[in-house]
Amino acid sequence: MKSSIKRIKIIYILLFVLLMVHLLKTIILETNGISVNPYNTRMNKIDESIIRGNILDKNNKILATTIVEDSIKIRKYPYNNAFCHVVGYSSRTKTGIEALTNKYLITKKWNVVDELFSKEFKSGANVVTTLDADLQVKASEILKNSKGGVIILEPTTGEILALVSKPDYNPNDINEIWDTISKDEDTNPLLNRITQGLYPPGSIFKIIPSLAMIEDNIEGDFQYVCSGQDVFDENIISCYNHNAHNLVDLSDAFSYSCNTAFSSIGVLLGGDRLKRTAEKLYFNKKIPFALDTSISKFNLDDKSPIKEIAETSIGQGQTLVTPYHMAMIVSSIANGGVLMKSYVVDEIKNENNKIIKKTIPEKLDELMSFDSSMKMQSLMREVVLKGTAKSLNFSDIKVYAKTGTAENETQIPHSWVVGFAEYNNKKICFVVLVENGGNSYSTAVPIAKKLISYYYNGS
Amino acid sequence: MGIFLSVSKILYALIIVCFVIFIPITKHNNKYVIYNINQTKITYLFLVISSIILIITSTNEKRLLIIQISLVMLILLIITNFLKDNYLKNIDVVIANSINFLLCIGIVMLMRLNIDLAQKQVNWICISFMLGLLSILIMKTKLPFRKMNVLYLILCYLFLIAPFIFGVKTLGSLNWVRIYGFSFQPSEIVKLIYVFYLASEFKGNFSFKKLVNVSIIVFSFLLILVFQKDLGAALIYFIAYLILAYAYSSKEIIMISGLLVGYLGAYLSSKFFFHVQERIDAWMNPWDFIDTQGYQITQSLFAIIAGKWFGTGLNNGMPYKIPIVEKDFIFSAICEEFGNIFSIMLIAIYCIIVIRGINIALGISDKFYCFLALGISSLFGFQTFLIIGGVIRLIPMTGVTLPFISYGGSSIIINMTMMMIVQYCALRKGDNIVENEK
Repeated sequence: MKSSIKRIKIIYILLFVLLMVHLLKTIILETNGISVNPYNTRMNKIDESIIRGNILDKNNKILATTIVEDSIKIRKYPYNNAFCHVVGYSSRTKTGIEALTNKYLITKKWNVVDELFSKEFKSGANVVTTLDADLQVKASEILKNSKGGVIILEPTTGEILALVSKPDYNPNDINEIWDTISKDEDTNPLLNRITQGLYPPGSIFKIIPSLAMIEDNIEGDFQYVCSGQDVFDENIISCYNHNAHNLVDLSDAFSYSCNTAFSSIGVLLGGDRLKRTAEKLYFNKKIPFALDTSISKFNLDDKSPIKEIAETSIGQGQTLVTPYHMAMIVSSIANGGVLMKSYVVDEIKNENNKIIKKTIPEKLDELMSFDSSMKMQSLMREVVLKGTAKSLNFSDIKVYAKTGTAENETQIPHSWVVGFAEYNNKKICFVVLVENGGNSYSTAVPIAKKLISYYYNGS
Repeated sequence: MGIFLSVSKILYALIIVCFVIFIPITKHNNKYVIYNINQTKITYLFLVISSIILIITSTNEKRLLIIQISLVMLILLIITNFLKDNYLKNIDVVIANSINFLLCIGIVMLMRLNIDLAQKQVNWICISFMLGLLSILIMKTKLPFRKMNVLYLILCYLFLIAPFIFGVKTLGSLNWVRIYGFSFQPSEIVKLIYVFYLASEFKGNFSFKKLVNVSIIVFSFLLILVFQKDLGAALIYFIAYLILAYAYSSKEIIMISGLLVGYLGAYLSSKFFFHVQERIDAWMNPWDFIDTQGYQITQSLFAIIAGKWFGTGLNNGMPYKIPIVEKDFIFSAICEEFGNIFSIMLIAIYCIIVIRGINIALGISDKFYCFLALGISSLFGFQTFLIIGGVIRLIPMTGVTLPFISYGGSSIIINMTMMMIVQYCALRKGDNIVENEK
């Protein structure tokens, strides 16, 4: 009997030790970001005693800062509208990088002295982003009052240099304008159109069937005679302005963006084959990224009717993409098939400039083989050399692109251009979308040209 | 004021660590005298510092009450310490000091949370001390406690059935009784009689037949409790029975099969009782239910984390965000304001009480008193485990109280009486009186 009781004693000791260990674990691990949960009002109290850290661009220019006026802390955004989506705001709710790095902006590393003796106004850590303020401002200026946006990133690392969505708003006035902009369903300025806007891709989608052909090794044999229009099961597909491209191979079809050729490619490949490539390229899948993104939709399979396959192959139909997703596809083409995980926060430094956190470029996935990416690259180079984006043919900067004019429910199509540029071993990947901008070459391409020139030449 | 608060944070951590480790000043012959002196001094110090902080940081109306309650508590402590040192020499000093310390922590927290409840709690504490001492005196009489199993059985059934007749439904369970304006939980009172009953049945040598008979009766108790939806109590009764049955039979198989049956019972209850499933959901995914059944536990977690190591300082946290903070979740409020060094040591204090109680049982050869001490310690220990475990999200919430700290008259009185009886058993420790039993 006594030995049983001794065992019971041990069980109780274990139970209480379990309690202590679990409590310790809870405090030390602080899982689920408990302290930054919006239901935790204690955060507001802690918030009060800390000066929120700064958000900086890659060259340490200040994108967001807190100044103290008469003991009141005010969050200021020196660039006004330009960064409103990607940097976000930090009012009652938080968005963008303000939300992403909230925990760091309002915490100082724990030390005993701080916990015991709370000083007035300690400062939180500073966040250095990957953004290039000059580039972002330039993009924002060039877009002016259009709707749409620009994303520019480095395909070899995944760093995002610029992310502009229009229409925008001034985060400095967020409290005053909140009621207006949050209810504005027409323009919806709060929406980050680059990451969450879903649009018909138009001709930029032609990358997908091209890649499918390349992967199946049948691109070399492809030939088609284009007479300006063709019929696919009652669906009339025509090329732009009913231009007849005559005899084309894949490179021609891609450079001149021949719709009829691609419709027949789509029918040749079939819905399932297209779907396979599309889903390999992250259609219908969430792309891991710190900011919220929408998922691009692709709904074809072998059971789809021919006419749907025909129009989907040229980027119409039910397909919808986000500009961010297109940037990911192009960046993998630019990077030998490897998609790097994109990021906006480069490093986080405390007030003594000591680095608390640093993002290391990370490979996310391999979307295509190296050979396939090279073949895609040459297709995109031809677009610039002889095709629909000749204005992007700089003498020194090598640009690779695909244009798109996407029909939508309005009369005026969306203007797209996607691609990448390289010069002096520096590569950037870009996507420009202008909602209802009309032709690709009338709106999107000139914007891309200005930005590429600005990035490499400073003007 | 800021400096004072900061100093108090360090002091609290220091106080409780010293209490637990009871640093002997010199190697004295009688260890217990040193433990006693240090622990009682620490308890007084704790009470005084806390009262001062509360007085400084509270409004004028509260101040008078705080002084009142603290004085009453102080006088109570002085009287009981005096009695303990001079008349009850062989009781377990560490348990006595720990209980006093816990009572102080509870009173301080209640003064901070709700001064009216604190007043009532002090009254209950006074009554409980008196009843406790009374019960020691009763135990010392020559009454044949070990033979009164039938009486215990009848009393158990009476009290357990009372809610069906006089019952008042609170918060989904029918386990409160209100007579002449006093409300109490019969299942709390029966706990003690239940242990007496089990001890009186198991006092002899092992007999399988007896085990089966007692099991059937215990099963009927559990059924009644389940009917009243007092599942927390049912669980505690069940575990206490398992432990005593195991000690009685020395067969591990009883423990293991009992645990399996218990697991089955818990599973069935989660299917039949909606609020059990709710609690399990809230435990597993509180963040998904943060607006509804997960609200309490998530606020509790926020409070615990906000306390970090040294706490936010007394009267400086946000305990009111947690619903029912004066009873079930008072532990979280302690974590927040006194810090987690404090709360972890607090768990250690409860552990020490339980272990010392079991040691007392080990030191008694008379089976009746051995089982009495063991049963009470097990009940006490498991209840504490359930409430703290629920509050820190180790296990689902079970709606029992934290002994000596949670607000509640029945809780204080019963726990005090139970512990006093354990102290009486301590007086019998080492004696060789084994009365002849079948």
